[in-house]
Amino acid sequence: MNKLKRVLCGTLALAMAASMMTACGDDASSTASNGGGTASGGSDSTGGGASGDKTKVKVMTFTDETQTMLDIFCADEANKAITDKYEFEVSLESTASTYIQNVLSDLAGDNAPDLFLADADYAKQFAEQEQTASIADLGITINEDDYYKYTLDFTSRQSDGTRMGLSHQAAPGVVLYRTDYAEQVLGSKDPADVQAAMSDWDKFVETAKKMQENGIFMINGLDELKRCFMNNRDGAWLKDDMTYYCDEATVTKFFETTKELADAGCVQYMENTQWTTNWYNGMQDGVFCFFGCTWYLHYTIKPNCLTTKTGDVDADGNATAADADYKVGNGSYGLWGIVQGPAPYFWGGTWWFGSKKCLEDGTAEAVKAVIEYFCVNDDSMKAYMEKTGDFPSKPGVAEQLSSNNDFLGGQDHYAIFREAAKNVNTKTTTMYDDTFNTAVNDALIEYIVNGMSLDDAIAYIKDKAAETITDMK
Amino acid sequence: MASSFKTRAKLEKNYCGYIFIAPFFITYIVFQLMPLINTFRYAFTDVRAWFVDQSQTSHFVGMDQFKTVVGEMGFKEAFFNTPVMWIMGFIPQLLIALLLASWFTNEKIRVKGQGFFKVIFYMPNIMTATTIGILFLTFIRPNGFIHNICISIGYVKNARMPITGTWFGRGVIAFINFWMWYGQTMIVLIAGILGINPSFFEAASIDGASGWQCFWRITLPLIRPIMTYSLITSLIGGFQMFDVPNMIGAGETAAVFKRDIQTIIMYIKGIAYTGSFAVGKACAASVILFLITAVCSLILFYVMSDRAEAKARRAEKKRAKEAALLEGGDL
Repeated sequence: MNKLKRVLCGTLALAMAASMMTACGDDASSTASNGGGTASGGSDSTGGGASGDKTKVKVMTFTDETQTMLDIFCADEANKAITDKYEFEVSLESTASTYIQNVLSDLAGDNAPDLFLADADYAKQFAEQEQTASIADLGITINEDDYYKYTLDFTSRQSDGTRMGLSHQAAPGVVLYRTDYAEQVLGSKDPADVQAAMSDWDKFVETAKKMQENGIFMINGLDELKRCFMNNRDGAWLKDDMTYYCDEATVTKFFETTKELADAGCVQYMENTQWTTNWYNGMQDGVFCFFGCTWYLHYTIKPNCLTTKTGDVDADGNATAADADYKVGNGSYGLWGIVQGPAPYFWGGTWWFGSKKCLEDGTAEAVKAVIEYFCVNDDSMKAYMEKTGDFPSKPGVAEQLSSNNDFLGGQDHYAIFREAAKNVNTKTTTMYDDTFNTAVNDALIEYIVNGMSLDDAIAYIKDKAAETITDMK
Repeated sequence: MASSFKTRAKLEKNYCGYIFIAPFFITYIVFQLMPLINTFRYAFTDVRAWFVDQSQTSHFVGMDQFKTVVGEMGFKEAFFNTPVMWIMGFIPQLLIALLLASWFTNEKIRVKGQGFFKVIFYMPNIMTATTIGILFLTFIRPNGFIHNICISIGYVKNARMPITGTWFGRGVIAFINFWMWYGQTMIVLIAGILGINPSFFEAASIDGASGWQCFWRITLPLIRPIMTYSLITSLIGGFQMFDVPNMIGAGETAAVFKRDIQTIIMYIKGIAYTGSFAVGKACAASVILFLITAVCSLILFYVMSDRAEAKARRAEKKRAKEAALLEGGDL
């Protein structure tokens, strides 16, 4: 009897311990299969055999676009040699801070990604990592003259200029404006006339006041002009020895211009509205212009300018736009035009990196093939751009593209982007820009809404940034 | 034979027990104790330098990180905001909870539909803090109902202006905390009151004590331990306040009173996970938070503990000891 008790006790305890372990195990495997599920789906559709004998390529990304791109890669017969041997396992994390943290910690360990992507906010940081392989390491050769220079400069190591990452897209910034309001107030909806009305900041403010007299807001929120100003500073926030530098003239001009617009009633919301519901609402009606860029045109303003959306409900419970919704007359669709605006700038981008681990575990071949397919090979790059309306990182490819965009009332957006991309300058960007952007946002609110003095607001930027950048001097 | 069997049985019983409690201790050591110890270690270490240059074992920097943290504007603001918002929320929370608890337990009033009210009052606590944060955010944003009220009473000049004001932001957070937790405190206090021997109340009413006197002289002193419990748990939770203020204040949308409602944990999270990922500095701030919480809890515990009773108990013990000594002397 006692023995039975003992056995029972032991079994129970073991079962308990085991159930704990399996609980953990289940968790891990279910997330893995979630991440990998779609990836294997992609390769299955190409008629790949048993996935077990394929080498796994670990991909880390912040955007669901990557999965779409890899599916396109796998669907192309020309890549059969790669897709027969390799299988892409994509893990997606769209919260920037978590994603950065995951990549940085994984890179240092055994479970490093083979291929990983970066947004402009942290591409520089990834390029500086010890475990990031350079383009040359991966065996990719490029002709540097074929690219918009900034897409290469952006991910070069600060110390020796080694090219670390490649981008398939360039993201020159432009101003999107409402043609109907332009016609009503400025008397012409022609891009040349509108550009003349906002060719510098003084004219921009002047036009804003005219719009206000007609009951139209010039911009939607206080942070709208930020990127355009911040890209044109005369020096980086941090010098090489981590000394703080603030281009006070530009920051002052930015703060004062925004305040003048705010005081004159030209700003719809007295808050930072980017990526909020109020931002999207402004795109539907009542606001003359938005500062956007290439991807912004397709992924941000196009779906959000629609008032009728009949598509599926997304994870947040909002209706998404179905293909049929994209038509002139729905919301402000078809009432937009593009001009360069007061100053050239860029906004975002996606860079591809290979890790040193892919050189060791034999997946370098696949990593190289994917990067070359989207970022080097002209034909496949062009095919992808034509499919999505995105803008390529190579001027040569951009030359071959044209569009008759009904969203823009027939204007060819490639023509404007080609011009805008020539003037983009990323010399003043550092890997800490994200922190400074947030600090500038906060300081702007303190200055305009909470009544802080201009000098204090500028000093506030430094104080705020010093909290998170520990070695700043 | 019999004796050897006894020893064996005793030993094995012990082993069984260890196996049963092992999972907890293993999880605790791996996921709680080790991070806890590391927090203290990192607080004195230049974590980044240590991480990059793994050849050297120690990057001990002494109190440097504590000094930087303490000098920072964000730190000072956070260490002011957090207790202030906690007190603003906790005082009404305890008062309302006490009032409701004494009503619900009062034999003379006999509130009808008690279960219904308890559920209703407890309800906000079931919702996630994130949901509540978003809910209140919609109220105070332009076009929200609180925003509209502010316009109609002239506090906000135009419809495009967000509601500003240091104390408004803090008040919103304090109100949410109050609203989320008074039900829970009420349930705990009801349990405490029901634990009081009813014969006390009977005896008091026979002696002609009024309801008010009963409350002050019987209920309140006897639920003191339970009040100490809710006060201290609430204090610890209050110092770690994060989810609601983060929902309301972290987004660009409500940057207006970002500084007024920044809490300690928000500050720590900010320095640890953005910019140059200053983990060491964040650990130093965490250690300071731990010390402050510990000291405050001890003070509260001391203030709330029944000192008169403890004194009486000590005196009783002393008397007994003396009596025993005296007896011994006699022998």
